[in-house]
Amino acid sequence: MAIDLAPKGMRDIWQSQEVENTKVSPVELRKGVRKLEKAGRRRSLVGGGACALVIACFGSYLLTFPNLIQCIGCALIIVGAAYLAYQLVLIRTRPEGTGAEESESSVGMRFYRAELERQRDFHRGLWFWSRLVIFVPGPLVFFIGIAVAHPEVAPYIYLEAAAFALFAILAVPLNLRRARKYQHEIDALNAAEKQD
Amino acid sequence: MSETDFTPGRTPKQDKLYEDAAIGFGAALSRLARAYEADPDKRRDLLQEIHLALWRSFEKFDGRCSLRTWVYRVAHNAATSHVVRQRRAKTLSMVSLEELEDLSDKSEGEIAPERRQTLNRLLTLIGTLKPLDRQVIVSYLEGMDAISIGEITGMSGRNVATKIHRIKNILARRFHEGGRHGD
Repeated sequence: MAIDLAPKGMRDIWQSQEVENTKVSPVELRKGVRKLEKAGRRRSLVGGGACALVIACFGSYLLTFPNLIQCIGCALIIVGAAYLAYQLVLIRTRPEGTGAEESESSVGMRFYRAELERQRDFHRGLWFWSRLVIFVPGPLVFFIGIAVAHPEVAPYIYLEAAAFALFAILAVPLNLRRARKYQHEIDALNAAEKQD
Repeated sequence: MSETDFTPGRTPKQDKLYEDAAIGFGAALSRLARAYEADPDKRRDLLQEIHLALWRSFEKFDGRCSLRTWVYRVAHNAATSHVVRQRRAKTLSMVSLEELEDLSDKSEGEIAPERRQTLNRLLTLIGTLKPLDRQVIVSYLEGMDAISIGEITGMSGRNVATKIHRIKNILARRFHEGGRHGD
């Protein structure tokens, strides 16, 4: 039998496809919400735990390393970890429905733009640079401190520090390129909206 | 405390709205999930996510738009978030309807003999589209008119009409040699 492939026929094919019945019971829905909340709490705990571990480790180094450069490196790393922990607390305690994000029932165009803006801002601007400033200098200074304290292994340490710095430098254009891609899409959306 | 009492602030009205939506649009939501995720396991998770988003959203449903518009908005938005997340993880490349119209199809002119094959090709084609264009094509295939699609996507009627015209062209060119423009 010939299949009608005109747009109307395509609608029939689309609408008559076999799909699974997925009505979720109220009990399952509540379980799902509980699971989501649990997962969120677990993520925060893991993140917070990692920050606490870094702070504890480098805090103890602060007391044990006599080298001033190492101590400065430790202090910078602690500040970075504390900042990250603070961000986690902010995200966790932010009431639902606040902030710039679009609500889940917004029209598709606005919601999509907000998603793209969120992704773009992750790769550029304040959020990106603050992550870089907070996480790069600390380890670099710490590496230099170790090299100064242990001249016998200094070349290897400097090599590691150089590799770390190189990755950090490379992260900049890669992130900015991603941000530009998102921006192009946002621009296209804005242009389409203006045409209306 | 019973399971159903677990979440404070959830009302029977919310449950009732969800019930109505699941009965009225359950199959359409499953089809929508297929348009956004090809992997069956991930699709099941996405569908669950959509149902959950829907149920949670009904806490704020104020009746300013129809139930159908609300359901599709929430579902498409949940699926869009899923696509954006996947895209970040896998750097998926997506095109717009305008770009798709200009691209040549390798299998152009070859009519799939089976409905399943046709459907699979259609799903593959939808899977390459950017989220907003996916919203338009899925809504179109669900049988909605330009006004309804505009209410869901936020696009103007004119913009939606242009996109529908492109969709018809693409479908006709890729699936129906000779391009019979019906509907």
